[in-house]
Amino acid sequence: MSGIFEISRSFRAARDRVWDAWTDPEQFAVWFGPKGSKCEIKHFDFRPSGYLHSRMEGPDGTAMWAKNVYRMIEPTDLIVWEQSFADEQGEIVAAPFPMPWPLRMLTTVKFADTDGGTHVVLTWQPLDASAEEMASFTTMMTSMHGGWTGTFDQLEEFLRA
Amino acid sequence: MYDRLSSGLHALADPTRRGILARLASGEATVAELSEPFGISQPSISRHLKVLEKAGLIEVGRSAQTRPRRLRPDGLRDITAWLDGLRNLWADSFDRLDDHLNAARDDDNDNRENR
Repeated sequence: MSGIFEISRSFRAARDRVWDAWTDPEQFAVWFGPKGSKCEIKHFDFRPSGYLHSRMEGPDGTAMWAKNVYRMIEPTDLIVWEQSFADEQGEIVAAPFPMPWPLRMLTTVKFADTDGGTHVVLTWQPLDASAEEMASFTTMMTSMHGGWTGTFDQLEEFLRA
Repeated sequence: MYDRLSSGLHALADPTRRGILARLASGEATVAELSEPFGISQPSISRHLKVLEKAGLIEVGRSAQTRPRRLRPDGLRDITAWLDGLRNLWADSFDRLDDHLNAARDDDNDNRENR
C-alpha cells in the first residue's frame, strides 16, 4: 500500500483557463468542495509560503475551516501545497473528527495539455504521519477499490431493499 | 454524532468485521453460522459482533433463542454518507470544476455570437 491517493481527470478547456480556475480565489470557491457545499475564501496569498484560508459549509450547515500553505507554484504546470484543517483564525488544527488523521497533507496538482483540453492529476500524501494516521488515511482514501467497495455495494443494495 | 462516527469507523476498519457485515447483508445469521465460514472461534466472533453492535451497525434479531444478528440500516447511513463526503471530495470537486469550465465556455460562445 503506497499511502498516496491519486485522482486524475481530463477537462475540455484550455490549460490557461483550467489554471485560472485553480488560482483565482473567486473561481476556486465556485467549484471546490463536496456537492451541495459552499466555500468562502477568507485569505488568499498565492505565492510560496503564502496561504489560502477557507470556510466550507456542508449541505447540513456544518462548517469546517481549511488552510492550504503553498510550497511550489509553476504556472501553468504545477501547484504544491500543504493542506490542513484549521480554525477560524487560520491556525492549523486536528481533523474535526475523532479518528487518527494526518495534520498535514501534501497536495500536488499537475496540469498537462491533452487532445482538446487539459489533463489534471492530483495526489494527496500524508506528511509526518504516525503509523496509525497513515493506516486510517489508507483505509479511507486508497483501499476503497479493493477493500470496502464490495461490502458497501452489498450494503447499499440492502439499504435500498 | 462524532462518537458514533468514531466507533463506526473503528468497527469498519477490521476486515473480519467487514466480512461479517457483508454476510449479514444477505440475511440474519447466528454466531455459530458466522463462525464457520470465517474459520474463527465463536468467542472471537462474539467479540467482533459486540464492536459492531456498539457502533450501531447490527442488532439482535427476533428469535430470542438463537439470537441471530442482522444489519441495522440506520447505523450505516450516517457513516457511509460521511465517508463518501471525504472520500469523494476531489471527485465531487472535479465534477463541479468541469461544470464551471463548461459554463465559462458557453458564456464565451454566447458573447461571440452576440458580437
